[in-house]
Amino acid sequence: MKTRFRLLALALAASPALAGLPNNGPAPTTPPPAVAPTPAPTSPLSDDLVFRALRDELARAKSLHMNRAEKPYYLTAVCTEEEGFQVAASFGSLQNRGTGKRSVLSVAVRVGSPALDNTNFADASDFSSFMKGGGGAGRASPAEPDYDAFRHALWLQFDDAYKGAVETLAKKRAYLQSNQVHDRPADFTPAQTVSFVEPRQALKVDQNRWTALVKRASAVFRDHPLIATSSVTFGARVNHQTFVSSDPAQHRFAEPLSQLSISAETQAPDGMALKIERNLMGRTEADLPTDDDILKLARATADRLDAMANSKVASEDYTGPVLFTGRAAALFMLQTLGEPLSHPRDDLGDGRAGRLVDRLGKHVTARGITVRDDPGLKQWHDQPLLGYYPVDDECVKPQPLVLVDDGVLKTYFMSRVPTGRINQSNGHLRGDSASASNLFVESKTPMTRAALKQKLMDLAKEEDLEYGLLVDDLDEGGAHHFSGGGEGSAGVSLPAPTGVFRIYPDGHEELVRGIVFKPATFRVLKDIVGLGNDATATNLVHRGQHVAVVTPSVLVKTLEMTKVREENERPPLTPRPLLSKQP
Amino acid sequence: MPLGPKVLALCLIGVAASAATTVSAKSPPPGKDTVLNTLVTELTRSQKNLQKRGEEPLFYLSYRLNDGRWFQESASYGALLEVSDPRDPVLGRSRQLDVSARVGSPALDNTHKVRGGFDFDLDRMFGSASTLPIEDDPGALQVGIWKATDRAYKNAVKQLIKVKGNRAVKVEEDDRADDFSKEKPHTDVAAEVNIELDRALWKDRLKRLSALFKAHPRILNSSINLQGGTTNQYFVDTEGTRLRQSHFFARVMLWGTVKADDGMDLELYDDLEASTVDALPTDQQLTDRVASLINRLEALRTAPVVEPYSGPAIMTNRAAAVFFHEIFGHRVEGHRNKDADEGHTFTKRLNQGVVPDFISVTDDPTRQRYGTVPLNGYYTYDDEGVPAQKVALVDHGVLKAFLLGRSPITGFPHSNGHGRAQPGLPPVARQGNLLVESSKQVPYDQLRRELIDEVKRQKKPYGLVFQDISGGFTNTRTGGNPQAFKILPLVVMRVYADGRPDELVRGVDVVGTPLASFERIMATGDDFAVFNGYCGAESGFVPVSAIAPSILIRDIEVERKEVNQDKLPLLAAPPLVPKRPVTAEVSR
Repeated sequence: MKTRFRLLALALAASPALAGLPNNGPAPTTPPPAVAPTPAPTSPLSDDLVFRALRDELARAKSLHMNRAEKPYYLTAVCTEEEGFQVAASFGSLQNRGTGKRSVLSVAVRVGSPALDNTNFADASDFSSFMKGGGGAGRASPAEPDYDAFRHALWLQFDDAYKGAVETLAKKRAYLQSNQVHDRPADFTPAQTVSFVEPRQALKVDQNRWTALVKRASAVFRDHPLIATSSVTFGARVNHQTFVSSDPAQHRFAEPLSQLSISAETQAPDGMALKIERNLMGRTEADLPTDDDILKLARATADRLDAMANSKVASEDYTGPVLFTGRAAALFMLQTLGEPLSHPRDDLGDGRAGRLVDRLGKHVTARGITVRDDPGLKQWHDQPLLGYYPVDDECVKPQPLVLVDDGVLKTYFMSRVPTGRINQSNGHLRGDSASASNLFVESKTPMTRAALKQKLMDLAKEEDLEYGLLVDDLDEGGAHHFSGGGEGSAGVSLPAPTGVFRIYPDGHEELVRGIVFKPATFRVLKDIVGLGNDATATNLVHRGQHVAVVTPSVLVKTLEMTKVREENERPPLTPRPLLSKQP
Repeated sequence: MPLGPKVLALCLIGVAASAATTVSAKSPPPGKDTVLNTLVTELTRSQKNLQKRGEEPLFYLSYRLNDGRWFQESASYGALLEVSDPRDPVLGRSRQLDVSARVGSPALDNTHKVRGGFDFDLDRMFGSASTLPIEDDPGALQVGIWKATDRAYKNAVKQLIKVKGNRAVKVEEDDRADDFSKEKPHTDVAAEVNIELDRALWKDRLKRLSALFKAHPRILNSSINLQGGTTNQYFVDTEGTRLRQSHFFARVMLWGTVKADDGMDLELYDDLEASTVDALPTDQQLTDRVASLINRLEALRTAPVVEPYSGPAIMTNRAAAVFFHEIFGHRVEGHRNKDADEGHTFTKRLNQGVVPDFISVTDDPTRQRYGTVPLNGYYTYDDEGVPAQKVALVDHGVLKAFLLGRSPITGFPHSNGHGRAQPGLPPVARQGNLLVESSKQVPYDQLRRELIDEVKRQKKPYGLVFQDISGGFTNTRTGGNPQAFKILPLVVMRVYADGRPDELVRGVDVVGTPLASFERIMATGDDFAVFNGYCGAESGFVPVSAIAPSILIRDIEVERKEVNQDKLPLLAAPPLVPKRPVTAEVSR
């Protein structure tokens, strides 16, 4: 329905171990901070021109009507303002640098009634919605708030959205007349909404420090002649989302973000393309590590890529135990649990079978495992949790959830769109779908890293394997959009691993490349045979939103992996130019 | 000849006085330009390595580096719109490198057209420029150039294998000319220019001008856009060419749409181009252009819909210039005569009459101005490092030549300096400054009388005058579509034979075939005018000019364009700046 734009479309994740951040014990259970008192409607905070433009045009849009069609019964208008700074360097030399500002307006309209409206319907015959983009999206929005310009744009957006909604509702009614649909839940439910308005935050960033730092950090790669491309990027921004609905409810809060990304690519001597990416993320620049730690991380990244290029290629497929640590564990849990519990309602005409959400009340993971989600937490120990938000995108106050209790699925992420089993929002709508915020994975019987490794090798031995596999990183870029309608819904696809080690019984470890996961099923959750006592927090992007996953290492009894086909482009024909250490 | 440093110094003074721009110029002398030196260093190293590689050695390598400093800003309804450029959203500085690697031999190389089937070359479709660092560090630049060279060479080898395979299974081509012409190398390192527009001034101006649309709520969408800056383009190749050229450009685009009561969407654009600083439009000029656009949009919204019509028409000067550019100019671009998928409209008509004998056509990119108007299609060297040349295309109606880059065609073994492209795409033959000349000129008033006479002779109630047309895409290819030229008429008037006042009509679509419309030109005016614009084709957008007088055509066929079925907005436009009616919409 609406989209939050992110200035920096990079893959994002914090890597606390590498950044020298503390790395200890299970999560403390801090109560979520109370929602700030609602300012009076005429308070200066909620009376700026953005709120006024949204409210004034939304009030007019309530009277939209056409021929015999109903008026809208629920409307929202959103303005996302973005202000940012970005600087990028490669091999010690600037690639780009600057600041930017923009705002994006979007609206949504529900026509009909909560029992039956224009939403939750996939019209297979309609391709025009792809072309148009709903709600008048695609029209340029003013970069800076301007009352007249905002109202003009919102006027046309509401007009488009209403006409589209009336047309969709007619098609949906026609579909329901020609198809037998049993137990169709209502399209929308009432909810207790709150209004929440925070003062604006200014973007504060030391541009000169970061410009010098990305140049220094990127110059590290000059000394690694195998590395063909690399870049270090820093970005900082503050987003403000201003929201008004016909409930009536409204919110505005700031979402600051600072992130540093280091990436590099090379080809192994056999031509296999290899890439590595390290991301550090926080709210403000103070959340990021020191200059020295960032330079260390750059050197470690370059060394790891060199090691990958020189590592062995997997010569055989693998079926056996896998130990996920650090970022790999976070991505594993997000992909196998966070994603399948998101967006639980299927569209009419696009139903999926065999979903994890259909197993409500049943055992879905091994016993002893508890999974919680808590949008109210800003921090975990010293680390920022970027899944925090004070109210969701329907102005519902988010609730902390126990998703899995001792292995049993208790609930899933809900917006105001009911499913057959759950009728109430739990305040998890962000962007287009109800989804994870700050996900915590916990065990009743945590194990030390050494014990996990021992168990890995024991399991490998049972399978007559010479070694077990440890995975410490997955390609986050490949983690998106594995879910979705149709046949794939019953399965789990894991992104390609970018850090795989063979662990031998004598304890020695060996980096390997060229091996990927085969598609798995939700059974993999029951195959979790051990969780560590080494929980870390990883910030990631999921369904276009920031999320944090706090999880220890995860040992899975059996996963199937296959070696990749070796049809590689030839390595460079001319060697890379040799560079001095510093420009 | 390129601008010397002295000329530039004069420019500086003029510009500072105008306060519309700030200008600075630094010119590393030839030999001390880090970018140029680094390009040559890596060119030499790559050539040495790749010309002795196994089965497909490299025989030609060139680097084209576009170093641009520019900015783009848009405003609508009194507010600035977001600026978005994926390469560099903020600073407006980018360095884009294009590598051309050729393997095989000049007679048959990797650029040879693969016939039939589906030759899926992503680089050719979407461009393949590499982004280089924006600082003058030789090491970082060299790594970027090296990586791009490696990719270009590998692609060239892959492509040549396809070419050879394709040739083995197809009949011999009509045109058996070589793939690559032999040209003399040139060295010309012009002064580096850096002219920056005054951003604050332009932002303010765009906001102010775009706010003029506020008083016209029936204009549903509108915007004003400015792009401008300088580019320093480097070109080096293994034949010894070493070039550095600088260009200033600025472009203001106006746009607005209305919806007629029957649902028909109508839009108008206006474009102001400046290829020199002194040609930048003044505030008053822009205000007038906005006012004119608003008036035309309002008039167009309520104008009657055109009826299907066939009869005489005038294309007024700038419209005629676009008309010639689209339906004539694109068809004399030489490479089309080698491509089996192309229409070959003029291939076999060399030395034959293609337009009435009172018309001659040249393309002259070396020409900087027409009268006092700077020409957009001016350049000194093309994008293959060949000096721009004047080409006499049509002499008194007879076709004499084609526009050529370094892809020769039978009878024309050399480039005439028309190989052009935007950064990221390989050059092909393109127009520069197209000039239509006539030996049968009459004053415009007389041309109009001749139109009315012809209307009466054909026993039609009225004739048409095309006052403004937009450069639509010309389809020169065979296949699904007939070879119809596509121009988009924006403003068309009916001129009645019985002396009634002229009448604006809307919804005009032109149908017809290109050759036929040329042959039907009856006379021209003496009112030459310049159309400055950007032309889009397979090698991207390049700046061009076309100059023509008004032309009278005996017969042109028009039809009514399709109508959008969407209704008008249901609510009236929001009122302007109300007295803060803050409605209480906050829940407890």
